[in-house]
Amino acid sequence: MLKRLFSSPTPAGGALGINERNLRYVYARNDKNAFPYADDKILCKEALDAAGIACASTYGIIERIGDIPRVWQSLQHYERLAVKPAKGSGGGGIIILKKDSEGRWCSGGRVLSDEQIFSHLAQLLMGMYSFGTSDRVLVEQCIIPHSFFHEIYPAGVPDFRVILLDQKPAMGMLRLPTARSNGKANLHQGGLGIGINMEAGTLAYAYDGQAYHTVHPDSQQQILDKKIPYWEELLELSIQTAEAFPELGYLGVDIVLDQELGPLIMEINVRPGLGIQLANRASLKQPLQTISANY
Amino acid sequence: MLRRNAYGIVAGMLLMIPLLLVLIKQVQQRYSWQDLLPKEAYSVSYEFDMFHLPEQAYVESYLPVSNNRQRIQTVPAEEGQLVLHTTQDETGLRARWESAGQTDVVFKHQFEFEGKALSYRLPKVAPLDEYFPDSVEQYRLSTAAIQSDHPLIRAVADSLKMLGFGHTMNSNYEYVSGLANTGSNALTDALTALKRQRASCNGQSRLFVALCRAQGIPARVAGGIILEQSEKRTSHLWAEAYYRGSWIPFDVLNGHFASLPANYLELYHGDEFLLGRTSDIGFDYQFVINKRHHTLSAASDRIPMLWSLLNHQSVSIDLLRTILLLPVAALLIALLKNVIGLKTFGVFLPALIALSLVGNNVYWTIGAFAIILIVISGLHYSLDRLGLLHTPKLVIMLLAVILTLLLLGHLGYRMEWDNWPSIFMLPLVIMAIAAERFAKVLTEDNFEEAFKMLGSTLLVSLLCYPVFSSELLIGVLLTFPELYLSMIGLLLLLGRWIGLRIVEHFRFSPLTLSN
Repeated sequence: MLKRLFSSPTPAGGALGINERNLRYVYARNDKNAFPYADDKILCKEALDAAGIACASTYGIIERIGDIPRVWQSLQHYERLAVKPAKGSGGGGIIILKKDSEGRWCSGGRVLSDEQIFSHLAQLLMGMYSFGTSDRVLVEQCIIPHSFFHEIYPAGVPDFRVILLDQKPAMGMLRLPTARSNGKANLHQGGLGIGINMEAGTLAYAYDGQAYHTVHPDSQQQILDKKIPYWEELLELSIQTAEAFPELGYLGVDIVLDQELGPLIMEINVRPGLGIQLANRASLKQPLQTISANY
Repeated sequence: MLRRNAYGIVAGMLLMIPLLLVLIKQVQQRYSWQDLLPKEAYSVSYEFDMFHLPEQAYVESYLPVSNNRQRIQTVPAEEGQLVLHTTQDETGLRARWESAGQTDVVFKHQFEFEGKALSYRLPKVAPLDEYFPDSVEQYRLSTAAIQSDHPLIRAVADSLKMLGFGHTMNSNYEYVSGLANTGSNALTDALTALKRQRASCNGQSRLFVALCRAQGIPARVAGGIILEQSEKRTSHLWAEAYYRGSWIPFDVLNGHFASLPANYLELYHGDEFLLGRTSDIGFDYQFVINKRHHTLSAASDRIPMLWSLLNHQSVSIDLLRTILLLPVAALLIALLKNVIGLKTFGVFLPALIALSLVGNNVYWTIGAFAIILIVISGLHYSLDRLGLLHTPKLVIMLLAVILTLLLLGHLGYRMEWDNWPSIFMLPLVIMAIAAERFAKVLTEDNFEEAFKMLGSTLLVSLLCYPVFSSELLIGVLLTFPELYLSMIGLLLLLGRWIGLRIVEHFRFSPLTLSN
């Protein structure tokens, strides 16, 4: 009876479930002391920079409210900025600032005064988007999505997610925004999860939470078998990232493709979601077990 | 591999061995569920204050006796006060306390009571008895206060008499309950009650008895005290009708048809007075009643140690409910989360919500809970847009919970909803926390996810509710505390269980198609 309790059943395509993911991978392979790298974007970037891994350039870090005017002054020569709370989650609090033709800062088509920007920065510092804890603000280079994505769907910032075990890629997925997902690329917010053929570096089927598609549901652009640019670099970058965090044996790496700079690491995740299996129409178990067996 | 097996074996043994112990104990002791159910027990004290006493004086009353529905344990009286004589007759156990030369006496007679509810199912159409034992013949006779042979009473009794005992009792009961209640304790005889069409509880009972007797059914009044946490001076009368060897109780005033609640102390049968005394003495009395939960059942000699917690007056059953049942509810939540895959706001929040349902109307409370959560999170959404700091925002939400409660309470009062005050029993802080969690998911995730989680949190709370409302479970855990070890064993197994959660079978069902 005990044996039956401990061996997992095989329905639902033998998918990896949360219980098994947590016990076998998240808890067993990851050192809790390294979790802050996943929770704090600034810590993560510092580690990535130290390891020489390509990521969006850091323009400035604001630690205290008193720092705001000084840091803000130092940012004035940039054309585009991404402002993020270090410990925010779900994209809350992130604003993209662009200069308009007259050199005024705009966000989402609206001109912002310096006071408005300062007030937003102060809110981020006081933990408005970090649930009660005071926070730091990261100002970094604004990504321009690669034209490859524009061919499929010309809005939002798509990203790749690669799950690695022991520094070896196990599964990958591309997350694309849709009209329904409101610019967000998260699967359960209505985004599209697209499976990746890891060997060939091509896209597979796109899953929207209900059905699998071969074309983007909004633009009708072909997705299936589309070749991913920079795929080899992208994979190599994910491996370098995993190597930069040796305490994290099981992690998800989020990568964007910049028009000019190519693949850049955005953040890492110590509890990468299991929806990637739905996007790939395959269980994570086999690739993870193969890696474990050969390690 | 070996280590995992060893872990499984230890956890499995932790689960099974206590269960085995429970089984052995049960086989030895043969507890019935009645034994294990914590019973309401009362400590009752007759307190007499006598003064200006002549050479010889007495007080008379009845003492309760144990029978099939009440258990009495007398607490030994203090020495050197009044001298107690008891005599048993067909009305009950008469007690007479006599003074021995004192002029002022404060006297106490105390006993413990444990009762159970009694209820009969009367055969509707079974014919009335025709022959009765000699001992009950006297209960068919007309008396000064129960004038069953008066033409007026006979006429009404004839009109109420039906085929069958159950139907006849039903029509007598309906007739007497149609009388207006005077609410007083004044003595009323059966005929006066009939003529005036209004009566006190003793008048109603006497009329009921008179109607039965006029129909040829032996009947009598019974006297006692309704036990509740109080100091009172009032006793209570109800009626009993004889049918096939049993005296069936009827309390028209309090709506008990062929049944008697567990908290009725039976003292005497027949139209008697509860108290009698020497005239012309100073006299005051009261019945001091303390309610408590414990068992006094026949199994009292084999009651396990932990029951003494419940027997101790300063540990209430509600306190024990929280302490003993919270881990059980949490275990249930662990199963619902890790095996079924329900997502809830926190682990203990649903348990705390369920705990707050105990003693309240469940659906009304859950409904109010949902309404308040939705109102509050709407508020949270707008406060978020204003860009407020976390803590002040949380306090505003607590205030909003209270204002919403006040509004609902006011509405309930105005519209005369049933038990509207129970809305104020809702746990304020728990609601504010739940609202905050709800709002957090709302902002971090999306609308659908937040409502799904709210729904499953309330569902899990509802599923935990039977755990908290079960007093039998309290008794079982007090008797077999080793069950907690089993729970730890089960949780150790659950903590290493890697199977798919049930909702994941649905979530990942698209994968099956490709295989």
